[in-house]
Amino acid sequence: MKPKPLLRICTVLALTLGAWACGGAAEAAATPVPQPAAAVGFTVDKLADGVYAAIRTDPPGLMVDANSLFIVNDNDVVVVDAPEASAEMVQALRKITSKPVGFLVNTHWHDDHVIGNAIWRKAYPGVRFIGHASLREYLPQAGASNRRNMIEGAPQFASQMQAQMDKGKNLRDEPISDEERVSYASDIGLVKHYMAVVPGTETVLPDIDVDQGLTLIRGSRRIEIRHLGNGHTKADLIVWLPNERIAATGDLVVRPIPLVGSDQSHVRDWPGTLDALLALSPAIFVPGHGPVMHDADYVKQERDLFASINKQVDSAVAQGDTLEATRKAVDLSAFRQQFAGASKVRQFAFGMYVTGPAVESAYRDATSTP
Amino acid sequence: MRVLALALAVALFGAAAPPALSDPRSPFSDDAIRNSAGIAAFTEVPPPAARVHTQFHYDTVHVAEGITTFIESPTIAMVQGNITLIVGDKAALVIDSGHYPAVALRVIADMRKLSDKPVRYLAITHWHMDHYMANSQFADEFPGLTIVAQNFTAPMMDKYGGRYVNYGAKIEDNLKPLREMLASGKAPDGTPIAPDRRARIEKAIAEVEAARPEFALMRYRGADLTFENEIDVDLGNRMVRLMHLGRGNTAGDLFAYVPDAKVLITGDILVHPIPFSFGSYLTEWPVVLKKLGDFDTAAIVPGHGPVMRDKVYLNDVRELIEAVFAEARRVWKPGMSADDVRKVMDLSAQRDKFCHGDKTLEKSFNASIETAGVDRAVQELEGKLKPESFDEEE
Repeated sequence: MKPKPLLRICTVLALTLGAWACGGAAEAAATPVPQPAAAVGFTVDKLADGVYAAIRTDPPGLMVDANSLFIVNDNDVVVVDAPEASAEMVQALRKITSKPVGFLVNTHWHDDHVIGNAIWRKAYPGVRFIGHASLREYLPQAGASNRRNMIEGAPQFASQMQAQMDKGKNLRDEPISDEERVSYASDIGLVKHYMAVVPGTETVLPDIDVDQGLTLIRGSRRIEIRHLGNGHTKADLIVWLPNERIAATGDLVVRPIPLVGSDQSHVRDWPGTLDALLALSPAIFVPGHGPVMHDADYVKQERDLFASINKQVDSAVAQGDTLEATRKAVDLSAFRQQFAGASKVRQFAFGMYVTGPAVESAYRDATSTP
Repeated sequence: MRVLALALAVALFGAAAPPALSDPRSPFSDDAIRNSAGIAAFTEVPPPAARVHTQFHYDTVHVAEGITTFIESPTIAMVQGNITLIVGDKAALVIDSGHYPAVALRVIADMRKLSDKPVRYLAITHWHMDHYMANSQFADEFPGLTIVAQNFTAPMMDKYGGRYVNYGAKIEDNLKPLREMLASGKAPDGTPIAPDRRARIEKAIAEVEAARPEFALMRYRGADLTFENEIDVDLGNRMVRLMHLGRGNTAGDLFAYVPDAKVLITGDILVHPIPFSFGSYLTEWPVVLKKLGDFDTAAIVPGHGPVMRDKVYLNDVRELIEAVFAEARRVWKPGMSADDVRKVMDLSAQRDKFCHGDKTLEKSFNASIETAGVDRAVQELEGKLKPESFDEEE
């Protein structure tokens, strides 16, 4: 069986939700026993006084939900991103504080970062949403269209995955590995959650549109919301706490495998945007997906990856290469080893979410007339 | 008409020790009455004698559907910037809270009659105190209110607004020299006080006394949200663009534009009938006015003065500021002071255009444009533009 139909769904998922990994190459299944669906959830970790990160614990997979950040101030709370699990996150926040949420920042326009706006507004009627100015056009149009595709495709995707698991096969119809089994089970759980939350949920546009950013002043706390440049999308915002030196990056930084969309990301600009992030010298990075980082190593690795892609694509374009020829000319094997190591799931994800779309994005920018 | 704009003078000199009486720009000196930029700068043409308003009167002006401006009365002495209410389907936004807490409470009561939408945002046009000293009253009346200012403005508000709240305690000290003049019948230099001068001093004292309760109510409240160039606020089927377009009246001027109503609210980069140029940026100001002039406008709300339905005054101010700087540059040579420049420059055409022979307006013009404006022009020509400040005589 060829994996193509599923990969098409993967692409839809990547567009609308972002995905870490797709089914990897076959390995002999070590255990034939189906594993229960991995727990869907997140942990809440205190990063500084009044600053809490809600970090997803899902294993790498096709389906993801986003991290969030709670910034508890003297009189209110500022929240970063509104994932699908926002109802659960509201409960988690209420365990921390009874203060109302004053503002919620959407780091970009993808549903796993904005769909929960309606949930937060119901829980905190006074909340106001801050987003990049482009959300106002994107969400009702391309965003709504992507959501429809996702709602149509996701259940079918989940049942196909379940069928593969029942057969003991991965998406390539090869014997399924433990890693893949855990990943698929998590994906199926996330799809169920998605279908329980998203259909019928109202799109809530920002109350405040920013182009470059703004600063929220809360006593001695400063919360800077900044568009450092294009990267994952042209709507990317970071939330920067200069006193605490904490940066919530949105999907400009995703770990373990960066997340690139061929038609939405801007690989050309991405290294410069990450340089601007690094110039802030954050002590802590809270990525859009993946664990909290206490040093800049991974961010630098991601920057170097995109810089290398741009450089290699430029060379190919200078020789007059087509997109297909450029794909062949670009060699990212060393980076793939760096990001994916020996994990087949991550290697496959690297091919799907970095090599393919990133080269296409860089090629498009290198060949388009400004 | 002689009106002492004490409050503006206070705004100019801040809560620091008031300048000495010998200082021609002291709000308490007779010369200040002649020179103070605030005197007529914030008044309309002299009102008919029959039209008498109480101090702190304001007019409520319908600007466009859902947009109302509360404009200080032409007759009041105590300046207060215009306050504008913009109402959308789900929320309202106010531009500037004004100078006086009790006035603001009356304005808020009037706003509630106009709309039941909560005021969720209060945007401050710049850091001069006649535009935001009633922030606390708005915040009290509208819980969850977010106060917005440009990045430069917010810390300046903290500095000057933060200490201006203590000004009320110093009022008696400041009035003492004036009371002594009345008691002795003599100015500090020993010259007798003429009856008209005595009347002006009495009026000044009366107005300060009248403002005493306002100062007693002042509590400082600064910005919650700042930005550099632009944010857009959705009030529900109504967007409001808040923007900074470069230095002009101050380095942090905020403008509001409501696209659906084509209404532009400018702050003090436009003040009618005489522009206000203390601490301003003369070469950059016209550039910003040019940008403002490019907006499609059905109405322009200045920082002080009446709502304008065309761009005539905006263009007049742009040409005035350009002309003042050009004339200063024409006559200035290295080593020349601002006073030297004033002695040889000719602003008569501009003065006539803005004052049309009105002596009161001319005094305002001389204080704001010929004095303060030329000071700034010369600073620019020297390459030594001083930081904006109310700390000391500049």
